Amino acid sequence: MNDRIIIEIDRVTRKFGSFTALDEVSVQIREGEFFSLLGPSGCGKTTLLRQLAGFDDPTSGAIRIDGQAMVGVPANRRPTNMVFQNYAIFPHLTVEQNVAYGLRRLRLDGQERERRVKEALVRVDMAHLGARRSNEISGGQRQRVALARALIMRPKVLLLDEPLSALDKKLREQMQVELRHLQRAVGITFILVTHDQEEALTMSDRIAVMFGGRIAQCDRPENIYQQPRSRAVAEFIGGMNFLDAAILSESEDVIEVDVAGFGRAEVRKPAGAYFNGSGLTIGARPERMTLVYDEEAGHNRVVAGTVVEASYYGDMTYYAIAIESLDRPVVVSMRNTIGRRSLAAGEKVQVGWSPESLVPLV
Amino acid sequence: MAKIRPLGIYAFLYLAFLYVPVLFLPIFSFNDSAIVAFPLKGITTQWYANLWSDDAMQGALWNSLKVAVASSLVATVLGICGARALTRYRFPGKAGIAALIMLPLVLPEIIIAISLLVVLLQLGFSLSLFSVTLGHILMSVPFSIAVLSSSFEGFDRSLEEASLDLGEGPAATFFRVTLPIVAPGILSSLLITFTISLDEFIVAFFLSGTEPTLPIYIWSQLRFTAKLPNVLALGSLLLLASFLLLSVAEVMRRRAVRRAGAGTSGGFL
Amino acid sequence: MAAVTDSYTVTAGGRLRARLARSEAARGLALVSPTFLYALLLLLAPILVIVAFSFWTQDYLDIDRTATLANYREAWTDPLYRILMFRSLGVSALVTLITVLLAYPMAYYLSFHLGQRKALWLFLITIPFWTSYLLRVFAWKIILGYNGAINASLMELGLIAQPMEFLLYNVNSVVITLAHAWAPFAILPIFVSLEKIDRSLLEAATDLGDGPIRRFLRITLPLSLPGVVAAALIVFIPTVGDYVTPRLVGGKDGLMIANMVQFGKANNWPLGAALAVSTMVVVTAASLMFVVLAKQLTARFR
Repeated sequence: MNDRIIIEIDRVTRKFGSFTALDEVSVQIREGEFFSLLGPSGCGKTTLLRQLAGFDDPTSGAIRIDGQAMVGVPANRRPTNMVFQNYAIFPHLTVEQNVAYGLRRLRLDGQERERRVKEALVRVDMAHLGARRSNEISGGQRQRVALARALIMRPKVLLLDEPLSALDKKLREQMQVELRHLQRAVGITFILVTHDQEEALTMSDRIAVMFGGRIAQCDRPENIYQQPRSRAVAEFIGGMNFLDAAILSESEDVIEVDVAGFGRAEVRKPAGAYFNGSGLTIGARPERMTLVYDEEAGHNRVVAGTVVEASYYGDMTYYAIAIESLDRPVVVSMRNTIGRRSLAAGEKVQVGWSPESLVPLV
Repeated sequence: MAKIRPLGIYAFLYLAFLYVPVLFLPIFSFNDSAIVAFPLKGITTQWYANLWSDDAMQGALWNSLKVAVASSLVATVLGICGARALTRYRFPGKAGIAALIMLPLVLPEIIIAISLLVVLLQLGFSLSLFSVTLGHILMSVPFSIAVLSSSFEGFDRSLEEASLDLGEGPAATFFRVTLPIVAPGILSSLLITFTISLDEFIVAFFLSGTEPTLPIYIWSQLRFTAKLPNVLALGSLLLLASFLLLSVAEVMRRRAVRRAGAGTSGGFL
Repeated sequence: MAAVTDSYTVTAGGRLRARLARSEAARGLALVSPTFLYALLLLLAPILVIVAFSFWTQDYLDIDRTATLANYREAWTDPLYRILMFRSLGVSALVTLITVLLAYPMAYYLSFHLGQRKALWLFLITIPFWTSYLLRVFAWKIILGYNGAINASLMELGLIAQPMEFLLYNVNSVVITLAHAWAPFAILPIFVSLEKIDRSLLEAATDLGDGPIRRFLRITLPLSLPGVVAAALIVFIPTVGDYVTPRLVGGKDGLMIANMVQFGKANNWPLGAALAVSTMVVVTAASLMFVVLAKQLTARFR
């Protein structure tokens, strides 16, 4: 990935009658980036992807790919290729014929075409299934064919519309890793649409979280996860405890708060954010706190609580802890390391936390 | 499903009721007697042999084939346009347009026949195989649209988008993707409209001039009791031909539906 | 599509969108136009011409185009036409009743008791319908005739001494033949509406205590009523105007209204037109009444 901007989306708006699917969306995507559009259904992410592909045009705004204006350019003349959600494998052609489909216009000689097709199939590990038809291969295999078919065209940008949603969990996790490797190997800009936050976090260089036709936050995965700008983003990505807090004082970089149930703390602010007013919501990730029991204290601060419920997830256990003066339990996760005892409902514990556990939310 | 339900018995009886009367035609076509009556008098193929030398019949057959081929081609082309427009596009007046095009399915055939007759004669056209063809096209188009609609409807739209995405224009997409997938449906439509035209009587009866089609010929022969067994032989052959054509059409239709990705549990309509 | 360069105001964008929508509509209309125009020119226009004709009179070989209701008067007052009209309606109604009643259990069997082989059965059921109508009617002539299958076999078995005459060349034979001819057509709409019934509704009813018969009466039958109505209309409307069956097996007593519609050189076209139009009007009115009645019946079930 370099710093060259390859896609510019400039105040793109798309309305369908009175419904606004995209509302002045602006974002710049770098060459070689693995960029994800993440959001719930109806947020506009697929609409935006289709605008890039050329199956739709914005009501207003501009789209530029590699400096060239794209609005009004039909799909078949754009330097993009798409992997469709249901793969759209041509049922009347074999795997090889599918992959070779777009090469017809290039009028390559037979040998060159064969070579390219072979190369594309090998890259997605489908070389041995070239003669099969779409109803003779599995869903995961169809997805690879769709990938090969798109990548063989050497597009500047590869668009992926929820490519993994039809696969079962194990296969999905495997494909996430493979897609990432593929993207790094090929070096093309990938733009992925998904509603699965884990997928976006695992694969992307940057994520744009979208709600209601707007981009709520666009940043690297770690930043989005650890410093969500708003409650909506925080809720969408990962589990989050939401706590009410009163603002005691505010300065350039920090804000002093009194968090209900927990106490006072000085929390870092995201750059340029101002929290005017008397109160705000503080987010705290379950894994940024800990439970102190059966061992010596070693934390900055602790708050007393009672275990309400324990949810076992194999590698982690999520504990709901009731803290006095809070009406809802706080969720704290603990890794099930060797020697760590599981807690039962009703046991008394101490919740360990520090100012770094807290995220101020707009 | 091994136990015999009363409803199952009913179903078999119903099917028998549908088929048995029709089977009487072939039965008597092998009967060694000029009188179409029981009891049967032995087996013969002379009635079929007679057909070879029956020039009038062969002329009528040839006429029917000409009309059927023309009618099926035009009706299928119109059906492709209609089915694609109705399944893929939204436009004002769609419901009314669809209703008019499909109207021949519900109207009494005689209404269609006489309306066309009056207009053609008033406009100065003389009746001929051409006028018959016009009538047959009108009646076949709804069936063509019905068959092709299921082909088009099951057709995944993203297949066409994928083709565009890979660089082909709309025309190339139609010929490389849409047409091959819909081809079995088109074939099915051709066969069905061909069979409809071949068998159709009323409209042909009113709209034909001096050249009869096969059903008209059969009708005219029904008065001559001596020639009856010949007609039976002819009719049996016609039934067999229709049955075969329709079977192929059905196989094609199922293949079309399978190719486009949908299920095969429904029938034509 | 015009290229949209930089920022448009919303109204301009609205225009663009309207242009896009119009182009889909335009393309759709363009695509359907050959088929539509064909139907317009060869179906709708001729029918309108027939309607026009019905108001004119035949003046020997010319058509007198002054508008008049004379033809209608004759069509409605002449006892022959009256009888035929009522007979046609009656026959059609009877045929519809028989066909639909017989078709319903068959459609039920198809929908509920067949799994994989539904398509095959549907095919077998509809095939006879596609073959020559003429031949099928003729087959009944063979069966019902004086020396036909029924009489001959009954005589062989010694059950009757003389052939029965009432089988052929009267209204009965017309009804039987038409019921046979239209049977498959009645099955399809009923089948389609039965297929649409969500099976889990039936499971819910059973779960709540209904036996099979109650469940049928309370859930299946009401939900399939639209299909039954469609089947009734599909059979009723075309059979009123049937020509071939009354001609071949109706004899003198079984003629129907269509047999009166003559359009040869020497015939009275305007009168024929008036008869045809009257028939259609009556049929449409009867159908509408039927549909309204059916709707009221279904409304009571809700």
